[in-house]
Amino acid sequence: MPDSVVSFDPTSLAKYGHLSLVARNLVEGFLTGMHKSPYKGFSVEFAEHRQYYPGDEIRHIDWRAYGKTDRYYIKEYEEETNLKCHLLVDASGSMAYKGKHASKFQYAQYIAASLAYLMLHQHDAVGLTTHDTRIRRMIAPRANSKHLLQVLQALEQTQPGGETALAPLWHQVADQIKQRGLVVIVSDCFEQVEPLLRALQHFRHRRHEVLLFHILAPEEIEFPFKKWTQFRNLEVAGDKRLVDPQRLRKEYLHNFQRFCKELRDAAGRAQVDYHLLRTDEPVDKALGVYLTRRQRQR
Amino acid sequence: MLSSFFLNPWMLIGLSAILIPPIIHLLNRRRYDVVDWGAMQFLQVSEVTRRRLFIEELLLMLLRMGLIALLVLALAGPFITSSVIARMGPRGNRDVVLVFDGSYSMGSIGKEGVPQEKAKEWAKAFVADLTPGDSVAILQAKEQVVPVLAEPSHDLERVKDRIDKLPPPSGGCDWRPALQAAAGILSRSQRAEREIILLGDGQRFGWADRDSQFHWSLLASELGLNQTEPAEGQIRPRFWVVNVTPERNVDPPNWSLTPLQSDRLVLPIKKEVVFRTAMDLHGQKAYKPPHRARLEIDGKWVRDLTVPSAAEIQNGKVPFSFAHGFATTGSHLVSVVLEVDPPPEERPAGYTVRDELPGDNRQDFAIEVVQALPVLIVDGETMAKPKPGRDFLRDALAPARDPMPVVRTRIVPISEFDPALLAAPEASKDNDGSPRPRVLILRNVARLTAEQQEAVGHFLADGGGVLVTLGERALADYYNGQLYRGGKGWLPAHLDAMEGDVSKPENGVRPIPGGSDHPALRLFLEKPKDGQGPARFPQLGKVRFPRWWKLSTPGRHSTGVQVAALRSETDEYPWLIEWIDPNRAGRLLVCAVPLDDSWGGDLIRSLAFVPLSHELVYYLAGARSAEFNLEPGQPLRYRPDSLGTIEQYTLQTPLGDKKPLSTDPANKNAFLAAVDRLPQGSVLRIEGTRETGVYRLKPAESETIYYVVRPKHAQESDLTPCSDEDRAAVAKLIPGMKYQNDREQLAVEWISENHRQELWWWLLIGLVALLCGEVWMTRRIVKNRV
Repeated sequence: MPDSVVSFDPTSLAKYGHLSLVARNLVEGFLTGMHKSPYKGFSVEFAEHRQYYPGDEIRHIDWRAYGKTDRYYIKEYEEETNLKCHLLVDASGSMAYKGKHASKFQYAQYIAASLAYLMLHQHDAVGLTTHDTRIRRMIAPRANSKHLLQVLQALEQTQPGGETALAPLWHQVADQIKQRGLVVIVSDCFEQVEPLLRALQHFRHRRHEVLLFHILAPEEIEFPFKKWTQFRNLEVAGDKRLVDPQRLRKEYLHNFQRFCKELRDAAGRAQVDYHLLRTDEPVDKALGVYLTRRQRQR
Repeated sequence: MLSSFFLNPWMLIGLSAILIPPIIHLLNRRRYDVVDWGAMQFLQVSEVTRRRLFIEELLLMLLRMGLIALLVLALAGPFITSSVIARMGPRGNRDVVLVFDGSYSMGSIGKEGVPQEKAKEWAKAFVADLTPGDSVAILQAKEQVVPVLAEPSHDLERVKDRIDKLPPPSGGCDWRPALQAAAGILSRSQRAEREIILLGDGQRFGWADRDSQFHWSLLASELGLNQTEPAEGQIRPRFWVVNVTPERNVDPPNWSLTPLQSDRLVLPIKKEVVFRTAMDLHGQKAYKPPHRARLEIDGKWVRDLTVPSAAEIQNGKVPFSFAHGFATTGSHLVSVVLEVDPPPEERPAGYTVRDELPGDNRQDFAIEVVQALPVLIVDGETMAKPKPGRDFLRDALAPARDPMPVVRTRIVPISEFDPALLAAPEASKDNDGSPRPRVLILRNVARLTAEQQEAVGHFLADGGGVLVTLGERALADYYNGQLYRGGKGWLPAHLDAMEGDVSKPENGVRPIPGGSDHPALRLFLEKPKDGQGPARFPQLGKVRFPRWWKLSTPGRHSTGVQVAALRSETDEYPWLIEWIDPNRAGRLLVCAVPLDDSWGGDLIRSLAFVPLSHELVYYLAGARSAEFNLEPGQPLRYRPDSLGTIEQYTLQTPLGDKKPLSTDPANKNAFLAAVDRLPQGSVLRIEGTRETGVYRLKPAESETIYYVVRPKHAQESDLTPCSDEDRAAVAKLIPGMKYQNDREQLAVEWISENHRQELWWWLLIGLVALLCGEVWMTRRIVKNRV
C-alpha cells in the first residue's frame, strides 16, 4: 500500500472526539483512498420478525406469515460473516509507557478500534479481549453494527496496569475460542519468548489464523537517553533502577534486538504474521497489514 | 616537616581538589531524570558487564583523582635532600643571586689585580658553567643596594652583559640590606636550590669588624637563620663567600682623605671659610708628603694645596686645612684630590707604589654662597621703628655703614608679622618680592597668634632657622602652654622662671668659657682646635647677664638639647637650647637672655657680640644648606623661589648619567622626581641616591646645584683583609655560610652538600602518563556507548 494514501496521525485525531470518531475517520479515510471494497460474499441469516410500518419495503414482507396471521410482518436478517476475528489487546503496565508519542496502549486502542470498525464495516464479526495477567474483559465476536459501540466502549474503559503474564493467558484464550477465526494480538510481548511461542502455537493448533502486532515505542527501540536516569517499573511498584544510560545503551540494545529477533523468528516458526509497529508510525499501517492478509486469504 | 619536602607546601591545600571527581559523580547521580519504563527486563545487564562497568568507572575516577593529585603535588614543588640522589639524577636547576661588593675598595690596584675586574671574570665564568634553566639575579652592595638585575633571569647572555656593565665601585659596602634583598628575591623562587654568592675582596672592615658582626647577627635573626629548623614553608638559601683577592697583603699601603668639613654650610660672598680634612695613612710607617694635593672648585682645578711637609702620624692621620672664598653666589662644589704617587711616566725605576686604592683620594663638599643672608626679625615691641642706635642686633648683623652687609635684615613688629613674610614669592600672593628669609628671629615676643604660630612651624619644617630670644615680655604660661606643649610643640624648652636682678649685676651669670663645641660657638672657645684659623673671641666668657630665664628640658624624650650654659656662683643654667627636629629639617635655638640691653647685660658691648650674632644666624641658615651634603639613600631636595617646569631640570649622577627630570614613573629616559607642595613653597624631591659622589642638578635658568652624597664610613679605606678567625666568626653568625674561592670546587660542593633534588618533573611525567590513560579510558568508554 502506498504511503501517500493514508498519512494521518491517530494521536492528532484523538483530541477531536472519542475512539469511535477516531476509528471512523481513520477507516473511512483509509477506504476513500482504496478501491471499492471487494468483499461481497457474506451470507444472510433470518433473525426475527417485526411489525410492518408504513414506509418499509414491501419486498421484505413475509407473505407466509401474513397468510397465517393476516398481519404484515417484516423479516429481519442477521448478516452472516465468513470471519470471526478476536482482538487480544495487552493492557499490562508496560503498555502504559509513553515517550514523545502516544502511549503503547493508546496506540493499541487505535489499532483495535480501527480494525473493529473496518471489519464490522465489511460485515466480519469482531470480538475483544483485554488483559494483563488476567482477562479483564472478553466480548464475543459479532457482526452486528451495534456491536462496534460495545467494543469501543470496552477499549475506552480499559486502563493499562498490572503485571504481564502473556503466555498463560493466551493459552487460556486459545482454549476459550471454539470456532476458528482470526486472532489479532496487539501487545509489546515483554515476556520470555519461549512461552510466547508455545502460546502462539496453541492458537495455531486450534487452527486460528494469528496476526501479531508488536507495539513498541521508539525510545524502547533506540534507547536515546543521555543523562543519568531512574527507570521506574510500570508493572511492579517500587522497582526502580538508577543507571547511566550511555554506559548501558550498548548492552540494552543488544538485549532488545536479540529479543525482537527471537520473537520474530518464533512467530515465523509458528506461522504467525508478525508485524512490528512503532508508536511514531501511523495506525493505517496496521490496517494495511490486515487487509493484505485478508486479500491473501481470498 | 612538610616544608622539608615541598617548596610551596601551601599548595597542598589543593589536594582537597581530588574530591572533585567523586563529588561530580555523586552530583550526577543526584541529578537524574525519572522515566516510567516498561522494558525493564532489558536493563538487566550481565554480571560480567556490571563488573566491567564498575571497574571502568572506578578506574576513570581514580585516574582523574590521580591527575589532580599529581598536578597539585607538582605545583607544591616536592624535593628530596640527598647527595646520593643528586649524583644519580640530573642536576636540578637553581636560582642564584650574585652579590658584588660595590665599595671603592674593590677598585684597588694592588699586585693581585683590580678586585672588581676579578670578580666580574669569576662571575662570568661561573655563569658560563650554569645549565639552561638556572636563573641569576645580580645585586651590588654599596651603601645602598644597587639592583643590577633585580629579577632572576634565565637568559645567561643577558646576565653576562649586566656583569660587564657593573657600576664602578664607590663609597662603602653594607652587606646586610644587600643580603636581605637577595633573600627576598629567592623567597619568591620556585626552586629548591637557592644560592647567594657574595663576591668581595675579603676586606675586614664591613665584614668582620664589630659593627658588621652586629649587623650579621641582626641579619641572621631577620632571615631566621639562627633557628634550628627553617620556618614552615621556608627554604633557606645557601651563602657562599668568594674572595677574589685572597692573596692580598695583610696591611696594603693606602692613603685616603677624611671627609671634608667646614663650620659653615652657607657662606657670604667673598668671605673666606676654613675647610678641614686629614690624610689617613694605612700600611705606612712614616709620613712622607704626597706628590700633590689639588683643590678643585666646581670641578675645576684652582690651586694645589699646601700639605704638611713633615708631621707625625697621629692615629694614622695627618690633618690639614685651608681657607677659600667664593666670588660668585650660588651652589659651589669644593673638592680636594690627593695624588699620592706621581703619574706612572714620572716615577723613577723601582718606585714602590704608596697608594693602592685611588678611589678614596677625593673628598667633596657642597657649600652655598649667598650675597647677603636674608633674616627677618620680629620684634616683641609693638612700635614700628626702634629708636636709632638702639637696635643692637640689627646693627650687629647688618651695620648701617657697611656697603656690602653679609646679612640682610628686615624688622617687623609682632603686630605686623604676617605669615606670608615667611613664604616663597610664588607661594604667597601677598609677598612684596623680598627674598624668602632663611632665618627668623623672634625677639622678646610676648605671644603669637595661632596663624603666626602655625607659620613658624611650617617654616621650620621647610628647613628654616629660628632664633627665639627671651626677655621681659615673654609670657611663660603662653610659651609653655602653646609653644612647648609638654615637648610636643616646636619650642624645645620649658620656661621655668625669670632669675636674677637687673639692679644686682654682680649676682648675674656668665657663659661657661670653652664649654661648648657647638659649630655656632667654636669661634669662642678659649683654646682653638686644629685648623680653626686665627680669629678667636674668648671675650664671650667674660660677659655677664644680670637677669635670665631659667629654662629646662624635662623628660627623657625631650626635643631640646642644651648647647651652651650660663654659670652663676653656685649654679648652672641653660643659655642656648637647640631643637632637635626628628626630620632634621629646620634648626631652632632658644636663647635664655635677650640679645639687647633690656636686662642690663654687657654682651652688646663685648667684641664677641657681632661674631656671635653672625655665627648664630649662619648656623641656623645652614639647616637648608645641610641638604646638599647627604648620606646614601637620602633624597635630593631643591627649594627654589619659583619651581618652573620639572622637565627643564637635568640631573647628572656620580656615574655620569645625565637625564632630565620627570614626574612620570613610566618615563625611562628621565630621572623620577616629585614635587612637595608645602605652605612655604614647593620642594623638588629626587629619591634614589644609591651612588656616593657628586650629583649635579641643573635648573633651566640658573646655575648648577651640587649635592654630595658621602659614604657613611671612612674605614672603607682600610684594606686589611679578614683573618681566618674573622671569617669563622661571621660564619658562626650566619649558619650555612661557606667560604669557597675556587669555582670548580664550589660546583663540587653544591652536589656533595645535602643536595635538594626537585621531583616536579618526575611528577610531570606521571601526569602525562595519567593524562594519556585518562584519554584512552574515556575514548574506550565513549566507543562502548555507541
